[in-house]
Amino acid sequence: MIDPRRDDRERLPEPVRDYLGELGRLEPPADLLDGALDRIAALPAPRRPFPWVRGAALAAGAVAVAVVVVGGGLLTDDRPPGASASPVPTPLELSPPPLDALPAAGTVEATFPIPPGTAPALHAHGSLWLTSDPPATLTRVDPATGDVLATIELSTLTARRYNTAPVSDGRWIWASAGGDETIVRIDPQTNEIVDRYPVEAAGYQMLATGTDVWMTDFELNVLVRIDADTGAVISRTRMPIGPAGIALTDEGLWVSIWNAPRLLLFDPDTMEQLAEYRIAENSIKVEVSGDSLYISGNAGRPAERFSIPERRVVAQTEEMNVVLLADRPWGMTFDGRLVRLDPATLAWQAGRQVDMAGCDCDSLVAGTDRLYIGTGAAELVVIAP
Amino acid sequence: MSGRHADPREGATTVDGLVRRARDGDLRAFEQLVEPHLARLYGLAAGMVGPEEARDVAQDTLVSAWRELPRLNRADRLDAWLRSILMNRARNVLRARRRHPAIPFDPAIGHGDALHHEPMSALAGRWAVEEALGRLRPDERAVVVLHYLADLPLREVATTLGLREGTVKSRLHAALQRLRVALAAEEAS
Repeated sequence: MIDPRRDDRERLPEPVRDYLGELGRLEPPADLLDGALDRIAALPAPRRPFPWVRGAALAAGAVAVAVVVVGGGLLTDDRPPGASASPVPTPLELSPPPLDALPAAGTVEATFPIPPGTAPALHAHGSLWLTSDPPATLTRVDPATGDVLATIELSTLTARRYNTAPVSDGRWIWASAGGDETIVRIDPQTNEIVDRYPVEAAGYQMLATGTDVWMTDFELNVLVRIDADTGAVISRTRMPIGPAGIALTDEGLWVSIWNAPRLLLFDPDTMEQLAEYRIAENSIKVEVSGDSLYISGNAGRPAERFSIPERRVVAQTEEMNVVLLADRPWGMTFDGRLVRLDPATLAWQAGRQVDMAGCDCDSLVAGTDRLYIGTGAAELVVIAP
Repeated sequence: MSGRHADPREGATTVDGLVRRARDGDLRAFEQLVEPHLARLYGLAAGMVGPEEARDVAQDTLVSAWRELPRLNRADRLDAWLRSILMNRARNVLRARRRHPAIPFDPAIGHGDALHHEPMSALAGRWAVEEALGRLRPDERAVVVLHYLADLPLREVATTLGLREGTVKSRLHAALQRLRVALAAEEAS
């Protein structure tokens, strides 16, 4: 639609002209019209306005329904259930219920002391793995007794602020050593570092598949893929802005961007960008359960459920760290409210106030059947659901 | 969905006739009525709110058009009428976005040269333009999109947005200034 030969208009900057030109040539999605007709079919038939009741037609048509369930909200409007059109995922103004109005979320099973400066980061191989920041160490703890089983020094260098990000691929523990920009492979049988690989990045979030290890480094704006057998860097993808959360599904590799309101989908083999979706900014972490991505963050960002089939954010709730216990979402707010969430709506189903001892943190890890919370008093709180 | 597509046995129908039938609840007539406008509406929506939300805005426009059809006074102005609905919807989306602004991003890129895939370089440029457009006020962006993407003369832009032509001119000038400044700052960084 943009004709560069036209010179009677004030000149548009070239990148903007190209961008708008591209948009003007976009083919509308095949289901655009059908989706609208689906929605229309669910509406009352249009009525002719009568002069003596001005606005009657508007009133007849204006059936906007905003569903807000306690503490969580489905982003719906007037469309029927299952309709594919998505509203703009604007954060809703939510009023989460007071915790005393909810059933208690689990029971406190135990409280153990943990080394000062550590926080739970991973449950794997029957143990809880605590990180410290800095220096970069991993502390392995027996979650039933609180006994320290091992302390593994990852790097003597001053760690970058965001580091370690331990993950398990079922056989090995992988962790970023932060300051020296290496990742380490740890044998959980011996608690020894068996390999150390230079990757020129510090893991903000990591993902281990057994054949590959993926890591995001949002300070260097890179997404790194490492061969789990050889430690070789298979790809290093530069991003225009900081990648943070990462998840792998049949659809591809999902990467959330911390300081842009975006969720990107890549082909993991070619790193071709397949799609781009709008989510709230300041995402940190992406968890997968079934056909949902639970996206957590900070800086006041709402926690979100992104529906993979619908390709949109369908529910939001207050800022919290969302983890999955037996595939069900639980969340921890920065002021110590532990809540069990409805998997679809993120409505708060149960809640508990945890004394975080002044720690402005949301340190929550899910094990196989327990939740683990690290407090500011160097304590580990074990919650039985 | 194939059952909904226009039945050729019905023969040619005038826009007036389709509007009348659609007003009486004939969804197939409505489909015939709006189908020729889909590409333009979608392009405009993409220009206003970005491609990822264009589908939603275009669909919302069609649903609104159906509801508001009894208020369409001149069937021969259907294109302009749909455009006005879309621009109102898109400006509302942009206003909502401004209430929850994204943090401006710094497209500084990572380090290291080996083994780089760079599928993101084009994306970085695009995001820079989106960022610059995102800094425009909704009315400024609307003027730019209608004038340059939809290729409308300023008088028509003014009619679409319900503004005076002089106001449109000043908003266009301000918008272009902002875009130049934003893109220059981007390049400098």
